[in-house]
Amino acid sequence: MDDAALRRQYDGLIERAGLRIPQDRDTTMFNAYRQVAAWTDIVRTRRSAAAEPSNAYALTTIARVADDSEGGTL
Amino acid sequence: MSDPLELSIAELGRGYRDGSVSPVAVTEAALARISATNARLHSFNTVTAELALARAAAAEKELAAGTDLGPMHGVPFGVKDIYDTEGVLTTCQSHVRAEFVPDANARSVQMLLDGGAVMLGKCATIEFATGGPTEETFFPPARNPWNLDHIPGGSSSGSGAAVAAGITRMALGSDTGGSIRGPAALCGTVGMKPTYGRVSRRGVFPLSYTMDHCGPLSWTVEDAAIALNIIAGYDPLDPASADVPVTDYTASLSKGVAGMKIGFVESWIEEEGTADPEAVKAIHAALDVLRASGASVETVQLSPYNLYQACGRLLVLPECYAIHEHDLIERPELYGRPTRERLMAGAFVRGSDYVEALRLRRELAIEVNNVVLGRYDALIAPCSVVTAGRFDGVPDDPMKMSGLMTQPFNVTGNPAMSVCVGYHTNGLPLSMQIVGKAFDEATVFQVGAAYETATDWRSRRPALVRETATAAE
Repeated sequence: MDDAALRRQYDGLIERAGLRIPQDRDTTMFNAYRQVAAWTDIVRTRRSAAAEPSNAYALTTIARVADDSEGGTL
Repeated sequence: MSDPLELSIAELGRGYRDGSVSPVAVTEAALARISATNARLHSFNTVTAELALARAAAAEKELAAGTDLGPMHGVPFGVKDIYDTEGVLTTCQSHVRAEFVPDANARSVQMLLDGGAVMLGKCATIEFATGGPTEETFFPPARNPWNLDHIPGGSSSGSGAAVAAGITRMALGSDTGGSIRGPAALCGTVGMKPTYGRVSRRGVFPLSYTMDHCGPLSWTVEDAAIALNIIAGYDPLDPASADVPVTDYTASLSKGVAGMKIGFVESWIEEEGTADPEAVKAIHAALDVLRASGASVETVQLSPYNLYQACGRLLVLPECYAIHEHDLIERPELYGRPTRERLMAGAFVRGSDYVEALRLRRELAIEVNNVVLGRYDALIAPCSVVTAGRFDGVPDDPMKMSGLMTQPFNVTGNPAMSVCVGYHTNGLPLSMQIVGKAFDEATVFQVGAAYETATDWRSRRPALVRETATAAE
């Protein structure tokens, strides 16, 4: 992806997030965005729908908090 | 009596029980060393001297009366300033939390106190355990006791500096991408990141919910094993806590490595590209020590380091952004620049990127745990392939990780420990990482103890310690 396209993405993300980047740090933060985009390219590959994420929701982790008398809030 | 701060936790325990060493005297010596060093070293943000002396006096009486609370009864320790401590300022090094005083202790702090240990105070950290060292934070950054012009690593920076400076045998740290092992490596201490879920994170300010690990930095492997014996265990109030039995980690320390199969992740060093030749040579020399002790060591192939790194960064960034989003928008000026910029980069990660990283994480965890550690008892990997950098050379890039190769085992959750493997000609410590199967911290300690016993790196302390000890005489 060329820099102009990356720049448009970056500007859009900063605006949507509501972040304020000082002018003198803009280049540094844009380079950080470029780094994040490169990492994204590394991890994205074609996976089957059955390829679960590592942190699939486990109800027992919630239930045990509710069961505990010390601080259960559910 | 020789310097009581050079006594191991086990030696202190024996001395306390036969009456040859006093918990009060040891605590006074630790507090004196903090007083003598902290203006330059900045390893402690807050010193709880009165509380420590009162607890030490109580421990002395209890032990004399035959009340024995365990192996750290009367032993001083430090606490990273992101762990909640009841009634004691807990800043996370940040102006954002300048006045925060918790009303309860973090679970692991409480476990140590229940075991009679003596808290010296709160150790410096990198602000909110991310970013880089900067004078913009609420407390000044800790420095490296081996050379005060150099960084101690982060984010458990004060913990590493305090242990290396001989103030305490053990300090609590946390590790999301290497924040226990990095300072341990750069300060020449032991740094144990246990298996994910092994030590409760309750009461520790989060950086990344799925990557945070809590554990000890210590001077020796045995010190770390004793500390982990106390703080490990299931906590129903930590959603990630693992209900897995804890073994006695000291039981394996003298077993040696004869007959053990150890894999060496050499390719990551080559891939990193900026490794210091002396750091690489020291790791190879350490492998020779393990071979001479009876282990077989052979090279293993894992996926490229940058795959693990990309996965880890894409998990940590959005998780910490979610935690700090409100403050980053409403009062960003309260953060130091390096922390603010690192945290803001979390806004750059899309939801589907995060999920893809989680899916990749499962694949990488299978690679390490099932494929590689199915064939080997433990792995050796590089920890930091460079020595501690200078403060005036801290990179301006908020994404830079400067030679640390620790992130893969936050991604996979495996126990990993940094140990000192010698010293560079510039006088700074060198390191390697010992990695074990999930929940097999015992083998990690076993390998570390065997290596430590076969070498004499623990006999060396920074010049700062010698100066302080001489001045105190």
